[in-house]
Amino acid sequence: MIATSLLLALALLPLCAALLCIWLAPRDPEKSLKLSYGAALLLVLLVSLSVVDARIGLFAGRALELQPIAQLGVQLLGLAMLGFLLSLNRAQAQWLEAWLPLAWLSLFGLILSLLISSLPVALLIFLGAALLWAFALPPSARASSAGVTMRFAALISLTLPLLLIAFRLAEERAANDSVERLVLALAVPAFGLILGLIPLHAWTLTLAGGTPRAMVFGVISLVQTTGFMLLLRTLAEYPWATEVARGTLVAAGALSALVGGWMALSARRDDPDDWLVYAAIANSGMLLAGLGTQSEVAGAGVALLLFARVLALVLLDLAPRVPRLLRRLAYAAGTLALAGTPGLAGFPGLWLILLKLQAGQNGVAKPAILAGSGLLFATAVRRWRADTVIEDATWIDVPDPGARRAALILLALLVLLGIAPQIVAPAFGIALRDIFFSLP
Amino acid sequence: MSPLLALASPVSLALAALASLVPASRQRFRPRLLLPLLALVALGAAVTQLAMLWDGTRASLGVTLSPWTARLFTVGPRLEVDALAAYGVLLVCLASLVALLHGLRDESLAIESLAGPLAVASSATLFCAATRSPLGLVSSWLLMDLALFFGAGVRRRGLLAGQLGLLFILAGLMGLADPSLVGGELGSWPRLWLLAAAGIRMGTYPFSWALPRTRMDGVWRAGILRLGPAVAGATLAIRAGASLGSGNGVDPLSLLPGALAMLFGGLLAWLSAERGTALDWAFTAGAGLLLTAAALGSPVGTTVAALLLADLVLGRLAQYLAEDTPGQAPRLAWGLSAASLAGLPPLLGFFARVLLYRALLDGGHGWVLLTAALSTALTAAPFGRLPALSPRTEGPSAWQLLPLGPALPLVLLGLLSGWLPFALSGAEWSPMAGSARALLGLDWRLISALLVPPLLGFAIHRSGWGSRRPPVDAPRRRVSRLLRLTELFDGMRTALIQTGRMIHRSLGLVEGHRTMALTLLAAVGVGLTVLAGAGPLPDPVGPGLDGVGMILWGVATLIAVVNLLVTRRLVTLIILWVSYLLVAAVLLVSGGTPTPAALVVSALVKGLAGIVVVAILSISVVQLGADGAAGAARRAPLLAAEPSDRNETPLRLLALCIAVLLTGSLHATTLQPTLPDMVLRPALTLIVGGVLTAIFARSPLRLAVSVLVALCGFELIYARLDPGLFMTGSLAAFHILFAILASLYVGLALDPETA
Repeated sequence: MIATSLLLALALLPLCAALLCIWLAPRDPEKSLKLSYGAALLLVLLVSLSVVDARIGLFAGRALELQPIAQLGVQLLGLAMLGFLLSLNRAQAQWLEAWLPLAWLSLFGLILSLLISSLPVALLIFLGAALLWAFALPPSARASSAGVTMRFAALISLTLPLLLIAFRLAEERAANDSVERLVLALAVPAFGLILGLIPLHAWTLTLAGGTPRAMVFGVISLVQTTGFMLLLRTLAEYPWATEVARGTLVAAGALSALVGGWMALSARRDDPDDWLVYAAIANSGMLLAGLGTQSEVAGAGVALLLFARVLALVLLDLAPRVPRLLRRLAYAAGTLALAGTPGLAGFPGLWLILLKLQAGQNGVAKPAILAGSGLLFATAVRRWRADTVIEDATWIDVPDPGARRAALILLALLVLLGIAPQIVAPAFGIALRDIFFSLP
Repeated sequence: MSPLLALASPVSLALAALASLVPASRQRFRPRLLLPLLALVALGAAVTQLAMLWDGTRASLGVTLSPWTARLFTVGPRLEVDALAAYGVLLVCLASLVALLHGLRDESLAIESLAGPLAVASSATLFCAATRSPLGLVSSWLLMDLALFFGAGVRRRGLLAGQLGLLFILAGLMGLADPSLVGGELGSWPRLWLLAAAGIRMGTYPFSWALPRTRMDGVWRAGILRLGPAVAGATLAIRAGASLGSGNGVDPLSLLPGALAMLFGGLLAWLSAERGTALDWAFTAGAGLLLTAAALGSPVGTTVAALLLADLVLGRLAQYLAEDTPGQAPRLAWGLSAASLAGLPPLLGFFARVLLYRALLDGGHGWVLLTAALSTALTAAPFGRLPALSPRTEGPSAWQLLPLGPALPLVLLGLLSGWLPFALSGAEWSPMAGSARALLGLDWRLISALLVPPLLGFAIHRSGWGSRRPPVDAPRRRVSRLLRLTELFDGMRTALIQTGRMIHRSLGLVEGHRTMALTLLAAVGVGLTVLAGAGPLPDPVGPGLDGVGMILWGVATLIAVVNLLVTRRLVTLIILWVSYLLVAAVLLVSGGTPTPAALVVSALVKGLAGIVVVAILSISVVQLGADGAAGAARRAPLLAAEPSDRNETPLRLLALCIAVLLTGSLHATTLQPTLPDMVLRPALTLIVGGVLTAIFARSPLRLAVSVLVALCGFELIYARLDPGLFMTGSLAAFHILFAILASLYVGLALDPETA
């Protein structure tokens, strides 16, 4: 009973927060932001307390279930949401009115997509939640962002039929090699598009170039994190896919890590977004390669790296709001955490991935991933002096001690998890128990 | 207790670094006494460790640094001090103590300026002790990078060199057969990676930026800042070198880093116009010799590398201290060190070189021997022409004897070298005996390589040849800059950045149509690559298209062509209507009728799609009405064409041809019973046609309709695969339409004030 209640509360909390924000934000935006902080913290608390494997039956054999992957995903989404809200601290009233209800509604859909037992339905809900970001822009940003958001909507939408067909075929593959390949041929580009992997990453760049920063971070941190969790769910659902897709995952991951790192280094120093998007792409590549190792330990490394990614993205989102030296530190630490540089939270995950990559005879993949990481390091060094300042009308131009405190805490957390990942590592090991890995 | 001994040296030196940072007003201790005392404690701990490990009864002293006890991290970062590590720690502590004593003689020295060098010394001892543990190695490398960057003034280029070394380390560690320990037999590439990383740590050519430059206004600092990291790198190099598999010969490639460092170090030392620079490049050449010895592998390589390490540390330390100390004793110390570093008998460097040169000759690596000989001559020669440093301070006479401290052991150790490296290499012979045997062979190549270059170098040195030339002349500086490869690396960095930027710009990824086109093209490419990656697909089976099938496919192709080429709104709407009719016709003919419930949902979606399209059309009219120049379009919105670029027409035709070829050549081999050609070909044609039109669409109406046409194609596939999927797909279609409509709606500047 308690397990079911907690699960129900977990599923409905974002919806309640969204409804509250729809009602309250136009009247008192500041208050709705404060309530949102509370709701985000409660969400993280709820999901941590929830009982794994709790289940609520729905229609036609479908159910809401809190699988370990979903629990990890919701925890990460809660953290990302908290970061998103922190970045809205002291934002103009019209932005709070627009973003708060949207973010909560989208989060409701994203969490639901992780909890619902049927993958196709989860996919539908995920897509709806992702597309929400495309058409709830604040009035002042609508005209300039319309073209970009429309293309984003069209491209993301195209993943849906591909994945629906792939899931259907996967259920009846009956040990047929050709069908397996067909499933992969449909699923790989679809997930590549969702995760913005090279060469399917162009939409993330257009998004970064043509929409408000809040939307970019919302999509990269919330939508793409859910995309990763859906990929993990897919691999757990169809264990044979991890075996068949092994080479593809490693090759695609290595390519994204290398080219993403290179492009991040090449990005113009006065461009505040391109390098960041490419750094996230390179990091996605590392994650994907980790899944391709088929190793349980590397899987835990993927989860650790994913956690570090969320923290790093939140820090990068906060960076423009903090004073000069701290801003530089935040940019550098965020980029280095995405790069998996030793000493920061990304390293333990990357270490485990690389350690297990050796077992797979992936001769080129390892140097490519290492080179990608090195190029991201060089990017952080190159951008140290750039001191990226973003002209954005989102915020009221006053000092923001809250953002400063949050950035300091995140910096400390990134270092702490880099030195002592055992604090969180066991939880991540458990989270991936459902995924079939043929190697230890 | 004994495992904690491994921590004693790094911790003592770190405490000394922290103590030096305490502001003078808050100091309740005498820093000039406390700092050497802590360095002495570090040295004492190092001596104790070496004594405990020397006889070989105890393999190592270990302590876990971070309790990464989680199941995932079976191997945490550890300090694992064996005889080699203890030897390295001892040398770092010795150099630090002596240099510190020398520096403290200057009453005007700011104590806080010692924090950086002491931090570097601490991290170097930690590094030496951590070289056996993979994670320990990575952690200590990082700490040393930080100490060098913040404490020793290594610049950004040095930081990048350090990071490159760390990547080499990771690449090397990933090749370990046993990931818990660095040691045992290593493959060729992992060994090479680790040797290269060690070379970077030692600041060998071309990564000389990894170490701080020697500044002549405080030259003694180099005794810590350069020697500490060099010893750390040498410890790693010796360990990696000793891991050569028993059945493997020496890979000539592994000798290359050392040979390059010797050759270019020597050349650049010769070309140097300043004493500090000459010392640094001569140091690089010495490090190269050590790297060469380490690359030879055990037991000769290990023995020689250990001897050369002592020679390098003691010799260079004596020179650094002698540089700014007046008097005869420092001059004697300088001369003794230079002679040992050049390999003159009976000093320590001589015996090391005898063994090394013999091994190189026996191994058929004469080119390395030639390089070493040339390097010896070049590094011995330049100091005669460079102006000697005028004494900065007149210290008391006792200080003048300090440089002799490290110099005299070079004689002593040379004479006793049969004893020193015995425990390190495990060799069953002494270097002295080995050297004697090598010399008694009376090989003229060996003897001339040993004696001619240093004598020639010192002759030039004594003559002061070249000292009349101006100290800085343009050609020499140009050659020197060229050899340092600074410009090459800067050029490579710029090329890397510019090429990336050019690719980014030329692809035009952020431009609307290109974004769509390239992304979709990439999606198709990735899909086809995955499909073809696992080998050829099975041959087509089953019947082809009959007459009805051909007609249906022809209609689908017509829809695709017209949709792509005709941009009038009315035609666009007709195309959508015909597409729905085609779906119904194909489903009827092929016999794959979905369930009534699915058909109801589908019909509902079609109705909603109609509403969406009408909404988009009406919003477009509003938009057009707002634009005074589009009056004609306002009067006849249904007949108006969307703005199009005539230059795109050939592109559209080309895309269409490719699409027809692709869809025409596909057969439903894999899914033959479920998806016959009669369904698959029209479906794929609609999908490809719809997607192509979406790429070229310039108005929301065409974009929406083209997506709908593509979804019609998908509907055909859904219907044949699974009725449930047919319903889900229909819902998805509605999703997408709604998103497009909403995107368009929010994109309109409905509020004039915010437009």
